[in-house]
Amino acid sequence: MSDELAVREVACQLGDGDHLVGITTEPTHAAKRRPVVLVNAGLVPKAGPFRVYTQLARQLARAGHRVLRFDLGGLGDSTAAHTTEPLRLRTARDIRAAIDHALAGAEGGEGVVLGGLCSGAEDAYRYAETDARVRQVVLVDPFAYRTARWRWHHLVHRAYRRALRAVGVYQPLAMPGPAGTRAVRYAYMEHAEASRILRALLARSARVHFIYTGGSRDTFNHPGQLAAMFPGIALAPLVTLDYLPHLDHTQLLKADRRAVVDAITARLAGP
Amino acid sequence: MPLLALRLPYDDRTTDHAAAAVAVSLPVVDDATLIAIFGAWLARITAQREVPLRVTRGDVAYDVVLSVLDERGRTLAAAGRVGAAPGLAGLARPTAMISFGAPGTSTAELQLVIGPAEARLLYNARAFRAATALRFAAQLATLGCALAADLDAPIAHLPLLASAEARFLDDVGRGGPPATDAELAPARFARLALAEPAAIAVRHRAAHLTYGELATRVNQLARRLVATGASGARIAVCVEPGLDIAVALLGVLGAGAVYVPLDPAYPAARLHAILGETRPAFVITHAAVLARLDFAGYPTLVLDEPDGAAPLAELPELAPEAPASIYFTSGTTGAPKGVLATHANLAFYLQAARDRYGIDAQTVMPALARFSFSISMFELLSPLTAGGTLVVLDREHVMDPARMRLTLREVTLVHAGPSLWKHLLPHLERAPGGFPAMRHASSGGDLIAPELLARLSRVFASAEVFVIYGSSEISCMGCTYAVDRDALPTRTYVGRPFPGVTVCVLDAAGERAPVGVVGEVYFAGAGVVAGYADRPALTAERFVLRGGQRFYAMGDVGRWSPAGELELLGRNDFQIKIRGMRVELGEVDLHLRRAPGVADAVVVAQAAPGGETRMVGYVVLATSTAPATQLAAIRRHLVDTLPDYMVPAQLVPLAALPVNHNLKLDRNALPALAVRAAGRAPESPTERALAALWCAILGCADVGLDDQFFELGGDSLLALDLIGRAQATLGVTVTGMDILRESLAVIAADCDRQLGRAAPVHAAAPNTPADRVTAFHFGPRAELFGVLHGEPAAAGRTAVLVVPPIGQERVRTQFVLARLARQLAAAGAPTLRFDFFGQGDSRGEDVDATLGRWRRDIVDAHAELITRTGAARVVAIGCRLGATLLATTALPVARMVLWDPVARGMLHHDELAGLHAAYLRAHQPLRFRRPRSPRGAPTELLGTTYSLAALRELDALALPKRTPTTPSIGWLATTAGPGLASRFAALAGPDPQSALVTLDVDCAWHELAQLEEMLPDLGISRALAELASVAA
Repeated sequence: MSDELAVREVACQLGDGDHLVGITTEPTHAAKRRPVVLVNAGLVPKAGPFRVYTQLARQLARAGHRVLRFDLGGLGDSTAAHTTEPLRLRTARDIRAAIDHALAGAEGGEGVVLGGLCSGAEDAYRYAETDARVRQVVLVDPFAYRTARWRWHHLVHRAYRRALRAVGVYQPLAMPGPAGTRAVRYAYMEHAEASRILRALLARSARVHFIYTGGSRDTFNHPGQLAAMFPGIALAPLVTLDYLPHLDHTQLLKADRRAVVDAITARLAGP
Repeated sequence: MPLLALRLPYDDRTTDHAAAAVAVSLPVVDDATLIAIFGAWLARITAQREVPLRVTRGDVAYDVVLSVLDERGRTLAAAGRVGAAPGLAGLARPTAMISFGAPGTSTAELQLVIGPAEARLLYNARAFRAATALRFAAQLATLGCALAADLDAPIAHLPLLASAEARFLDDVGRGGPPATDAELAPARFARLALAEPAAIAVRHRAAHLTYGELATRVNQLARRLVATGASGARIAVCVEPGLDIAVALLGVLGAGAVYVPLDPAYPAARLHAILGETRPAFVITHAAVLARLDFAGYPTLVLDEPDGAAPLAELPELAPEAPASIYFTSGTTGAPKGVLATHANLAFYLQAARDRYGIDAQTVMPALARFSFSISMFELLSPLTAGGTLVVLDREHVMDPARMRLTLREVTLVHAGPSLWKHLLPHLERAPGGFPAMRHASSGGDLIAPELLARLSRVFASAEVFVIYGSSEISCMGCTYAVDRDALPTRTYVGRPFPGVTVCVLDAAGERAPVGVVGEVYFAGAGVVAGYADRPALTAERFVLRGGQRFYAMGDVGRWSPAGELELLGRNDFQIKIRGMRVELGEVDLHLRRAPGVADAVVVAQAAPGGETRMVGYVVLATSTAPATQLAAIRRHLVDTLPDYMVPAQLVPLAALPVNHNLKLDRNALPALAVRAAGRAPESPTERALAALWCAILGCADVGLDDQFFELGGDSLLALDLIGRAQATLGVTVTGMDILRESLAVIAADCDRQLGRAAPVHAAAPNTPADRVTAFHFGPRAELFGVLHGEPAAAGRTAVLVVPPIGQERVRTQFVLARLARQLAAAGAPTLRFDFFGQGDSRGEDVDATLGRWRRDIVDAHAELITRTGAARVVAIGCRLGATLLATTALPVARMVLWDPVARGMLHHDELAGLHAAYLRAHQPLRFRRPRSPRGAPTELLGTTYSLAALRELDALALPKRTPTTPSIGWLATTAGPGLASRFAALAGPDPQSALVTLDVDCAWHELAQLEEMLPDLGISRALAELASVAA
């Protein structure tokens, strides 16, 4: 395909003893834009849910970015290392190694963009506080905190779903186990921590781009919610948001994955 | 005897019953006797609750807690385990209480308030219906009067049933008058054949016999048997499915001989055991069967060989009490026992079915059961004694969903066991047009889950759906339950008895159990057979006289619902002691079967380390969704409903409970407790405590410091359980994601930090060469991504190629296959994992791939492995569609290991499309309804886009048959199902190195809820590694 001609994908190994495995996707011409590092979404390997990281990396490479998507230790193709350390330390160590690798020989200016989906978003956000080389974070469906207007939108949406169900269009997914106990709810970071990190990032002029999909509806359901979640913090112009309520969390449909990829590409192409 | 009026609280819930309650009276006795009455009644009714009245204090579980209060609400006494009355003061919330003067303020679920003029029974309306409470009051009064009259009477034998309840049980337990003078089967068939000789009687494949033709052949066989003196003798019939089964069955019956069916698929040992028990005069069989089976010297009569001029004799007059058949079932000892039924039993059997289900000349009924099961009489003779048509099907036909889908469009009445329905229903549910001809669909032979009945109702929209409950000993037609489409059942009801049948539920003392009280099910009536052939002692044990009627003890546990439906709960055969406490395994079975998501279950006692006995629950899950998650929910249910000592120490998921040849549970075949070899042992108190929690939750014998929860089979819901237990027992907070990704040592160290303890310092887990990985791209255009595990130099040794699944299944299996690769590398076999073109980390787009391209990728990966390692021998391991692609690729490998290969591409396509549509319905409802893609456009299936060419290839894909170049096959089945053995045999042929291994886990390939769940190892990697035999 023509896309393939424009970008180059190279397998790489990094970290202590090369225990981490990644794929660098870069333009065949010189990469002029800031490198991008993508962190695993939950336990899903580096290609991302339904390969969305692969698609994102290729499109960003076509736009001039060098993109590294890699597996954290113990996930995907990477082997576990430093297993006697707590997970957060290992995660931070692995992300640091990835950033080192992405920046080595990069021509795209200072710093990197760090991003991810779900837990990957939070890992990226949490790490960004500790490393000034992270100049921009892209968070897809990260933490969110319910607000008063969230409740109003929630009621409206519930009525809409019920109507769809009544006409046989909507069939909720039957999950195993008692309601609400299907799985360990991913423990999103506490509001205090999220606020602290956001202040720290803004203080050093790092950009933060949030994307919320319909998959986050349980905690985030209207574009105005972001500002309401962080009262007292001036979000503009460094904090931006794309709200894509018609998408599901992992974007099963190709068009939905493209919507996410396009949104991120457009944001990174901005100032 | 002075009496005290007993009332229920008067409110709108009890208005209808208030007047009746006035008529109920307690004896006026001293307080101590009153307390004894109340306690005795409580002890008897606790089984009426789904959740027993119980309270756990420390290690002791009390069945009932009774508190006695004075007029001011002060506790006078409290008793745990009523009757024993050990002191148990200070209970905050007794479950039941008795108070004097005024209602207490406690939230006790039941409270008996004794006033000077009347007594009041207060109840928690959230726990009991008013009608239940009214029944309680009547029982309390009945028992109270009896106890007051004889204070020394054993509680278990005191009458409990009030007259109204006794009448109710009489009404629902009797099936009405029996049909008079049911015509014997041979005579009825002969009469129908004479009336409609041209009607089709039996079909098999393209052949058929009319009633006239069948009657001629039946008559000829019967007269031949009589001429040889076989009348009254036992005749074994061992034939494959075909027209001849009808000839043989009716011929033997018509000759006045005893029909003894033998399954040609029986193991030789069992055949000989039955022949030895039966001592038949003849074995009726086919030449092909005779050629492969040894009938131990018994005379044979070969139906498909010319009989020359065999002498014929006149048929005898049949007596209703003459023996007609012997069906062999397995005994609890494993030795088969023969159930001897008479012609009268058989006549009842067929008439009951005919009358209840409206079987007539328009009925077309397939025979799905093996002929060696007594339910086959229902299928074989019901149509033939009603003028209908019997459709005989080959076993392969019955197990083939596609063929069954066609067959079920042509028949009007069908019966199958729940296992067969579960196999067929997923395919029938997608059948366009439904099954408009079907008038009756039923199931029986086991506990029938309500969900199954709901599915049957949906699939067979024009049919009545029934449960049929019985056994060989009662001629199968015991009870039946008609499913109400407007109110689908939520319990395992088996309904009410057939006419001529009496059923009762007896408690441990042999008394009739009240409504809701669990007891053993007994049957009496015309269907109850003569007994066990040549086993008088066993017959006397199981067939008992009660009130002048001969009853058969089913060994099943059941109870009556308030609406008068019999509910079946399980078996009641076993009793053990756990830590000195008596446990009825049947009771634990009952609760385990009632747990959410359980399709079948059995609890057994096994020896545990240290000489203790512990219970292990083997569970067949209703759906294959997240087995570990479901087990956690089941465990919670048990913890919530049973004393802790009654909760099995371990729950083991099985694809199916092992059965012996007669499909009865084979307890000896249940797998023993898994004992895990641990690495570095836990040392500190926190590590040991945490390890104990892991063992309890995961069912491991032990765990090591370097073990990870996820790798041992844990999942997110089990992690939730661990979080709760860690908080409760250690007072620490651990997060779910940490549990899934951290080793025991790291989690324990974090717990120590929270507890302010110094965490022990361990040497780091060594990085072994097996952890070495090399990542690269390869192939003619370097488009494929691969990871080589282990040292690449393997000249002269074995290397392994892992062929992944396609699409989301690749993601789901990634953890297991990576772990497998590490294990193989550690064993000295460098192992290459790779991604197909357009998949995972390989280049290209999925829409540009074809199955042909993916086969070339396998060839390229094989070449890359040889190039990198110099290996002399390659073993290839494939999973799902990857396995099928591997099996259809000409590849010079020493051995192929296939993990759940896709047997038919078209079915796989259907399943993917069904899941995709269901996902959209749940997540993208409006997109689901959007216009279909243009004809020929690529199709998205669960995140993977297939071109039209790829879909055509997929639809044509099927597992191949063995050829001279096929290597030895190792087949790992984690999705057991019919046809598995034949598919394996077709591919592996007679190769002695090939092996089929079934692992009792379910990977839930077709469960939408598991679509995005990573598959835990569950022992799969070890099984694959063993099948790979890399050391060979």
